[in-house]
Amino acid sequence: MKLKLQIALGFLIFCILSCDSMREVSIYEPSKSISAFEKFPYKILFTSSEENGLWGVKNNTCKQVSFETTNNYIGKDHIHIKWNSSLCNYIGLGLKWGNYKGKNLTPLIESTAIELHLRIDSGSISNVPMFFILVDYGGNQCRTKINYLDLEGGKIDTQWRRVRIPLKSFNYEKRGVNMSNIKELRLEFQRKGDLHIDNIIIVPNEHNYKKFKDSSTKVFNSHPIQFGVGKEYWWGINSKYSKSLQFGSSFDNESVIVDLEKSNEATWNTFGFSPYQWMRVDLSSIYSTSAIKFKLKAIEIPKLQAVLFSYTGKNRRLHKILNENHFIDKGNGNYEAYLPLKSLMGHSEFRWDALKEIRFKILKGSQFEIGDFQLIEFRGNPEKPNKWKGI
Amino acid sequence: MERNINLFFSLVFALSTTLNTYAQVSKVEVTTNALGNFELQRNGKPYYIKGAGAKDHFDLLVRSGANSIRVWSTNNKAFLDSAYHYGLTVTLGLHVRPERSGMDYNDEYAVKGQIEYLKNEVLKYKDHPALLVWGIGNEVDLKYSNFKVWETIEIIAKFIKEVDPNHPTMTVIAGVDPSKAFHIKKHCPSIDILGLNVMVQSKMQG
Repeated sequence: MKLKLQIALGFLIFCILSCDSMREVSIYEPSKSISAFEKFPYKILFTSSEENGLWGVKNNTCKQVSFETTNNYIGKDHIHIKWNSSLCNYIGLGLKWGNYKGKNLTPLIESTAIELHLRIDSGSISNVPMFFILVDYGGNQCRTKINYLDLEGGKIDTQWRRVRIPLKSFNYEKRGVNMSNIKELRLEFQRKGDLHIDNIIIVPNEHNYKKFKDSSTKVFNSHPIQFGVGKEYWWGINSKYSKSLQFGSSFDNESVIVDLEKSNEATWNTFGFSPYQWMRVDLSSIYSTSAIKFKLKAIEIPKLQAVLFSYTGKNRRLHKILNENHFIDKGNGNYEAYLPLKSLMGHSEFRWDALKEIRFKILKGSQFEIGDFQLIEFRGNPEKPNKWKGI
Repeated sequence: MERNINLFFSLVFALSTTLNTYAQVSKVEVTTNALGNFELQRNGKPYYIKGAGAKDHFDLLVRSGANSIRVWSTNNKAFLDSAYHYGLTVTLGLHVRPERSGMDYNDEYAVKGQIEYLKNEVLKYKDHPALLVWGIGNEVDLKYSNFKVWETIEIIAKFIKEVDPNHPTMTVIAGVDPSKAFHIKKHCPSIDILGLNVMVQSKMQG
């Protein structure tokens, strides 16, 4: 009895110690992980008309759709479409793709493509006016077209040619398409054509291309900003054509010597510059508390018109004729000028995120030097800038 | 002996065909004349374009005194052949997709695909006898926001300089301003001619 108890106790201790060093193994654990592609159940969009549903196959004056049974790439038939859009606004076919079940393409975006095979009856083309549209259950659509890089042999001819449409190439981000709930794929046709289509499927695909960030915009968030640095960003100053405007050197930064009397030809009286290297200049976060400041050397204050241009927007031009309220006399013929941006009529509709150019036209006054353009912080009365004590 | 004679005649025929083909290709250049002005020359002679944007009615154009046409893309070789038939030269457009059509010049895949496609088109048509000037892009600047489009224009123009020494390169924009002039001058040194589309508003009188 005592021996039995000892054996039972020993077995119990062995079991407890053994459990601690054992690896947990699930009896359902697969031998290898399943990729998102393998898991995706709707890989076939079209291999034959019997098995895969389509809409938009009814013929009309602009398109003829038939399911031909000869020279297929795969299956019992393939799609043959002839179209001419001259009389119709829209020519398209829709693939019901898993009988319209909501499809989650999000895990597939990086690594898969829609593949199809195309051929024509004669000749050879490298570009076909055919577009691929993904539609989500919110009705949002994104699109793409055949890219030469994924067109087998760089052409469509009488042989079946493989075409791949990477999911990544659809503009789903821009169009706000919910890629996790896709309803269908549409094929849209423009202009005129005649095409055989077969074997539309989802395949694994490497897509190693980048999407770069915007590099055409320079954003400014704080003052002061020196404008127009570099003579190559100025225009209207070229002694080959006119001597009335020439670059000067009286100030720390770029300046223009104006001598309208020097000029023999019809007087050239306009110059302009890019705030920053002819990029789109974004001042949207600071424009309402900003003023353009510049220096002037003159016997008498000239009459100047300042004009601002934007790259885009409904109103792309703002202008202002400067008056005595814009200038502060610094003595010895030196002046400082301040032009608050809020004093420009229509400033609230102007695209301050896409400022293109600052231009000056000399309306009156013959000899002076103007330059050292900056954007400074300004919080005074926009109509009486020279009264602001912050200057 | 008979075989050698046949071979000889075959060679002569092949050579003459090749020479004939090359003789048909015009040498077109932008030069500076004695007055210091730019001049378009075709086969060493000044060539003043009297032309129209046209796809048909070439006979009417010729009867009206035209010597040249402009087309906007390479999608129809028949335009070139037909123009040649009527003795017209062609400014052949290479359709560079503008941003307003949905092209994204930050998308490397779309950009490279377009460039490779257009390079292939250049190789197809560079020796066509009707070809006068390459028109690389039409109004790509209209409502654009991404200046990278000029890099694409330059890559294509540079490629043309490498493979086709006989025809100048041009890009055509929707009106000029200092910004566009700067970007084209800076980014597109392989462009020979800057074309401007100028719309004139006319008042119709009933």
